[in-house]
Amino acid sequence: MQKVANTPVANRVEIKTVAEDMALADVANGPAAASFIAGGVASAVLGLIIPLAEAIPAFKTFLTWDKGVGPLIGKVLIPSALFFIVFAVLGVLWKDKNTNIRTALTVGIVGLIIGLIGSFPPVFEAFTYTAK
Amino acid sequence: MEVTTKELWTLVHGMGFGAIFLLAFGGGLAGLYSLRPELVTVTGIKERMKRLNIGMWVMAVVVWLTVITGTFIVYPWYRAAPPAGTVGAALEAFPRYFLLASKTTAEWHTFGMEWKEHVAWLAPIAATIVAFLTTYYGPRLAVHPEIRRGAAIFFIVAFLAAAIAGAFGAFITKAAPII
Repeated sequence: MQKVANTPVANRVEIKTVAEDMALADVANGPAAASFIAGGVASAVLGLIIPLAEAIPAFKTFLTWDKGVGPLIGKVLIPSALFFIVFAVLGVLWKDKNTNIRTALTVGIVGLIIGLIGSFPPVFEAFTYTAK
Repeated sequence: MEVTTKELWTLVHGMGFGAIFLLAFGGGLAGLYSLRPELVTVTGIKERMKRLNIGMWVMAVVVWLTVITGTFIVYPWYRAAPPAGTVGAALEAFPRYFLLASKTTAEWHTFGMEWKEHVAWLAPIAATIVAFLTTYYGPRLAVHPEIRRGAAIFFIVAFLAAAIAGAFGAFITKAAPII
């Protein structure tokens, strides 16, 4: 920052920033698209598996891989595993490819919305199975 | 100032890992937002990339630890079933059942815990995506606005999910502490 020197009151100061360029080899957007789609898929699966477990008691029992944690263990491990699997597969396939990043991000956002809605108790509890 | 083992793990889960993630969010979001050529110089981009990289991966690891400790350590204690015939003050050792035993506290479980235990798992998935994008693209995020925007969206959702879980965790611990 340069100050105006030898004046009792500075009416203005000049700030100069350094103009620079940085050149880098670009990388394809494929891995980014893979991450968005993987996140969307995992989130959507989470948002769907929760009400499904409420609606189908046998499925809820299937998800109970540990008595202490209950069906939550299946509900969260399946989407988590799917996230890493989808990310790995698409990431490798699209490593050096440019994809439609907007579509991928849209898939991701839609998945997030499904996940947020499906994990909201008033929504998934509406699917709770009641024996007739 | 004695703390039981269960209380210690509850603290580690919420006040330790969870709090670190929530507190770091502001800095991470500001860092992501400012990765624009019109806002920072090349020197500025280089300066903050290292911090962003470290910060985003710390956040991703910490939020995975939060949900793992919460789900596999603290949650089983929360939902442990009492022996048949347990009533009154004796139910306090079984938080889920203690909350459900009264109409005035039942919704802390049926709404609060049910929301928290599920929505929280969106946070580590989203945070991992952000950490990956920050590392893989690095300074290139400055010239890829759509990737940067996607990172910001996932980052905000990660924070929202963690904030919901953290808030209800604090309230539920107040109403029915794990002792």
